[in-house]
Amino acid sequence: MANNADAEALFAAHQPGLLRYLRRAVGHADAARDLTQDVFVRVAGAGAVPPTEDERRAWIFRIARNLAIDHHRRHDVRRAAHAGARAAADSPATQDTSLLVNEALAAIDALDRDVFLLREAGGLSYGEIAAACDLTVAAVRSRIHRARLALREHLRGPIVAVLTRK
Amino acid sequence: MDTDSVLSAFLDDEAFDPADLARVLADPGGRALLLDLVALRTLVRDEPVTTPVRGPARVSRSKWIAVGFLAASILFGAGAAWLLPPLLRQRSSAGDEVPPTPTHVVTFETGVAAP
Repeated sequence: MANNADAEALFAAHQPGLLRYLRRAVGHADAARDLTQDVFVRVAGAGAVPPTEDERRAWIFRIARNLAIDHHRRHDVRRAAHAGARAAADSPATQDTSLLVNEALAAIDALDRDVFLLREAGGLSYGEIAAACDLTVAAVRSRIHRARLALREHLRGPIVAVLTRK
Repeated sequence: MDTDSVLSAFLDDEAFDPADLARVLADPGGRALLLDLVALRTLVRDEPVTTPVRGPARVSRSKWIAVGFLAASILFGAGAAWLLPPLLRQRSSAGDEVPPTPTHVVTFETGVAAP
């Protein structure tokens, strides 16, 4: 089991990136906070902590990704119903950009999304993502780019707004 | 490998062949794509800003203690300034009185024991 000092040090080092990643991965700040806590409960209860920093990051984000996948499995039905109701109620003008980003992320391939978010929100290197997702580095690079191209199509309006804002 | 995935590697500070990047950026479409990907990064990393709700400004207990101490010091100083001059005047007028007359005088001489 990781001792308390180890678990606290890991928490301090990785909590911001994990929270950012989980917030985008599950699309909800409260759920992301809960899942971040769950990650560290698992870290504290783990039999052994990987020896190097790169391996620890990959290991922690693998735990986070698995928790996010479980969360999606549990909440898919409710989320679909919620999205349908919201689409009926809101006009595009009232939807906030963050919501649009979450919806675009939900629309792309799940593994592409995970790989992209581990890089963009979690800050992992391609090598760390490859270790966390059991992929090759070349596959990570290809999937990240594919995710970006797909998101570019979904978010044309907000992207133009970013590039033309004063 | 997609030829323009070099843009992602460039954005992510990962290894890539500069010649591939030059080829992609030579095309206007490649340059537009790079700008879009930079904007996309901004969108994904932007977190909604939630400012903590703050109540009306409150003065901490230690500040109240400091203010109380200062007020007490000012009052004490004013009181002292009010009361001290009459007391000093009283003491200086008491100093004008004639000292009591001595009842006996003791003198010391070398080689003579004291009585």
